[in-house]
Amino acid sequence: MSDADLPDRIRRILVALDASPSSLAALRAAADLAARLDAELVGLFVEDINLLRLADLNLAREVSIFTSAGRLFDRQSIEQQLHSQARQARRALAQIGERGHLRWSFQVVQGIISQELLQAAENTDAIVLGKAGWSHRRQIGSTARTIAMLAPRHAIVLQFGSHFGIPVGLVYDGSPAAQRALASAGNLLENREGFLVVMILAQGAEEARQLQSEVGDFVRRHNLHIHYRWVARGDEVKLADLVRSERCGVLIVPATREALPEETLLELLDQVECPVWLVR
Amino acid sequence: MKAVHPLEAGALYTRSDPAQFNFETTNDLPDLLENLGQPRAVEAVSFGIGMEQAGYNIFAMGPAGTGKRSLVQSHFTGRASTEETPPDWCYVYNFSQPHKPVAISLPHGLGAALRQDMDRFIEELRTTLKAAFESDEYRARRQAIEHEYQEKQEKSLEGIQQRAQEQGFILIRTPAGLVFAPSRNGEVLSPEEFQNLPEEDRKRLEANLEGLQEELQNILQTVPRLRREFQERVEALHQEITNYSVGGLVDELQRKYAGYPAVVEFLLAVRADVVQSAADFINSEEENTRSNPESLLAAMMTRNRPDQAATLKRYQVNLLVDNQGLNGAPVIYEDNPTYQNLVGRVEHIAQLGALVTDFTLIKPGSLHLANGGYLVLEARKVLSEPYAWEGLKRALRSQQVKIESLGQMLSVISTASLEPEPVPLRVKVALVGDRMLYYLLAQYDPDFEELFKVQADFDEIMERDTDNQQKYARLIATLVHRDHLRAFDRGAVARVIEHSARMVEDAERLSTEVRDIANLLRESDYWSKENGNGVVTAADVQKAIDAQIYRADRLRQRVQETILRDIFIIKTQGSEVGQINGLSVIQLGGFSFGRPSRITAKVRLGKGDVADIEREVDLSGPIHSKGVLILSGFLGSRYSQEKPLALSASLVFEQSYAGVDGDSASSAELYALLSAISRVPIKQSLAVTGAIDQNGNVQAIGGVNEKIEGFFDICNARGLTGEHGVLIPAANVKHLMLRQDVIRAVETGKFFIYPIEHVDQGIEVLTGLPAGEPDQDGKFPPDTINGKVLARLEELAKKREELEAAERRKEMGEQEDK
Repeated sequence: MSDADLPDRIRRILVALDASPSSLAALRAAADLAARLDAELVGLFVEDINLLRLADLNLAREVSIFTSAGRLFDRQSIEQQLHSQARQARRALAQIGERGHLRWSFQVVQGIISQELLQAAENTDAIVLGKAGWSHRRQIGSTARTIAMLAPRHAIVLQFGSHFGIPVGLVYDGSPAAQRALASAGNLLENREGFLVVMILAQGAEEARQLQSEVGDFVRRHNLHIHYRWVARGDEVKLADLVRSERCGVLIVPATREALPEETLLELLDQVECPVWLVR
Repeated sequence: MKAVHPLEAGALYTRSDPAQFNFETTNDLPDLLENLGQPRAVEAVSFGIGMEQAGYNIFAMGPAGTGKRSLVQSHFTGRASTEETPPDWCYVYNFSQPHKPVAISLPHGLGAALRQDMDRFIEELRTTLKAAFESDEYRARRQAIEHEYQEKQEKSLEGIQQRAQEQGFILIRTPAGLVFAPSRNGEVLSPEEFQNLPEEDRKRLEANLEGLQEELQNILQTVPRLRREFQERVEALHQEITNYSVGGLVDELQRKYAGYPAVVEFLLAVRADVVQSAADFINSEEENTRSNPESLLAAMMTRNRPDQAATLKRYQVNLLVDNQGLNGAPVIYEDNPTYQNLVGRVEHIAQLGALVTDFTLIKPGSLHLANGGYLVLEARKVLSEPYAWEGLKRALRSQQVKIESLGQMLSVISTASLEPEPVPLRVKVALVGDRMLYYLLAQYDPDFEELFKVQADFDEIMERDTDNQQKYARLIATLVHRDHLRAFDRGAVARVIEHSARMVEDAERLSTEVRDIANLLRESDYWSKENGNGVVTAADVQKAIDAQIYRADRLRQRVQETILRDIFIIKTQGSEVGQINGLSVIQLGGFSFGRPSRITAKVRLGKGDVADIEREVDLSGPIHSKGVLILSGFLGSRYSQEKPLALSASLVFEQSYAGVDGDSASSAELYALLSAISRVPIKQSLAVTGAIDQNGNVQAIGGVNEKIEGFFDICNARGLTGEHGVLIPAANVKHLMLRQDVIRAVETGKFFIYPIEHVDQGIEVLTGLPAGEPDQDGKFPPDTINGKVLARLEELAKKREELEAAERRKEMGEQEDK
């Protein structure tokens, strides 16, 4: 496999922006990735239609997280807040894009956040988003979870404050998605110092050796430093611990059902602190 | 009366015979180690050094160039080398009162060691803490705390989210908070959908919404408490990790400095502070990895947080005084004794537009550096620097150095600054200055004599005996060696000694103003380049002296020109009644020269007053006025004891447009007056200098050499006729060190110098007539000066009596008419 063999080389990266600290951290990571892959950054701010609808109801009171005080929730104030957030998000994107000499674009749409993001993701090669939105929760938020599971191609989920580091962790089971994941790892490490930790997911030692040999061929062609760990099928829960003990700076995971069960994927997203790159 | 004879040439100049020296050049002479001509000052300095009680500081006073500073410094250095090296002084952070840094004293050399140890400690602390906070154990324990906190938070929200869902709501995050929205299938109802609900359902939803909102508010109110609990637990974890990490490092240092309680106390405070500040270290580590401030506000917030570098800086040691490598006590000369250079200062650095400081910016003053030793200061500089004198006195009085800015000292600045702990002071200070400063301070500063009990008075002259001339030759050799000059042969040495005598205007004394001698040596060396001998000869010294005079004598030349061109009238031949050549000296910086002045006297019938015209127009100084009054006293006592003087006289310095002072012209004025009264002319080929007393004795004056040379130059330029000469007080003969051309003129009988003891001798020389001795009745022979004076006075008295009688008759006649 060579770069030319990669039909899904990442050229456009979508980043979901809502001006939250988490999304701004995601923006920085996305810019880093765009610079490494020479891709275009596409920023998208979604004005949550649910908020606007609720404001029109003129029924509810907004409770402040910091002061716990209640206040009226009307359309004018929420629109102002959303516009302000959009401006802030655009400014952050422009600043980062110009500083990194990146191609970038920015768009504001109105709708259900997850739906709009998934729709936009159809027109890009990868989506980068914060794991927990406005809260700093460790567990993945509902919007991020929906997108991570339904994103058509690459989805990269970042814990607040994390960034792409080394070594690059890769879960490999030989599936087509795993092969694409391996290629993505190759792209990420291209012309850079660092090494690859390949977590071979196999039924037994024989399959593991075979998979290792497949990876070996690729690695030799791309001149990568590599380190193998074997995980038996059924022991996927150990993957999170392995990522921690290997101190991976990013984890690339094949995210198809045949590669990893949905629960395992969600578990990994919840547990792992480094960015998780889901490849389909 | 003793007859006056002109001086022989040998009396005009006291030579220094090169033959008295048993060396060829100064290369044969060893350096002079003693301080020449200053026995009093040497003893005073030695006494001052020996007295250990407070207040026995030294004021070395005397004219500039007498070697005060070098003598004091060499004595200090000699004594300091036998004394113990004083301790080092450090400033460290005060953890309980940060604005009052603590001063720590350590045996010399240990200050630098402590500083190095603390720098190493900081470096190790950085790596140890980094490793500790990156350890799996720390991560695991921190994550456990975080997870617990997050779970508590999530659980409290999950409960309400579930209840909300059961009641037909979903919880939505807004940009600024949380809000419940009525929903169906996970989507918020539109206003139309909500309005289409049965009224009963709407009311139920609204009622439920109130309850949910209230409950949410209650939950959110617990968040700060949860967060505080979390922070406390994280902090406790940090302190545990830090305490463990730092313990070993501090223990090691504590063992090393166990003998120094102040250091141990500091180390314990450091340990407690490291543990207390654990959050700063971990915040700083996290900041380094996460932060990428994109706005000014973010940048400022980051800066306002105590960062790791600021925290670690507190553990540094500011080594204020490092006596490592010093053998014995320090001897410091402070060239620029400003207040801050003496007592030290706290520097500031600009940070975000504000001036900030800390204990590492405390800088020592020369009092710190000289502590335990000796400090030499120029008195004039100390007194001319604002508040330096006050600062020095305060330090000496309180025997401690307290660093205060001038603003603090004057209470004009109340901004927060440091108040470093004062350092105990034990120092011997020597102030070097001229005598006037000493006497002014002694007179007007009540603290001065308490703090500077030892006066070392430096003499500017020394006796010119054989032994001292030998020593002077060694002094010259020492200066030649010091300045790497060509060797001086003994003729040159002798010439320098002669010039030294001329410098102090005394053939029997020598100058101790080493600076001027050193200048002459250097300049002689310069002129000797061309002589081809490789050594400096007497001719080179003479050339240097001549060149010095030439460089300075522009004004003298102008004055002489105006006389020679008869603009300024000075007669040097013939005779005149009531006119005489007086002599004065003009001082211009370090150069002085003599100038003749024409003094005239006029008499008329009067009431016995002698008018000094200079005094009448305020051009006369008090000493000159005194001289004129003395000569009035002489006239009265000699010629008019029984009856009042019947004349009025006026005296004037002709063509004098500036002030006149000094009494050296009083004899000349008297001669002019006697000539005017007696109508006997005075020889204009002579000039006169000398003060008189009321008995007519002629007394010594200053500048005799310059005065003689000044008149000689005029006569010489007009052509010496064998009649020219100068009358000087006999007491000044021992001061004569005249120029060689004057001496040659005397030798050849073309110029004469008369030593005068009494005015009667002088008037005889000036008029060629005998002065006249009084007979038994007090009458003088008629053909003598005194006889003629007396006769004229009697004539005037008679005229006055006749006039008075006529007036009386006239008055009586007028009364009878009435």
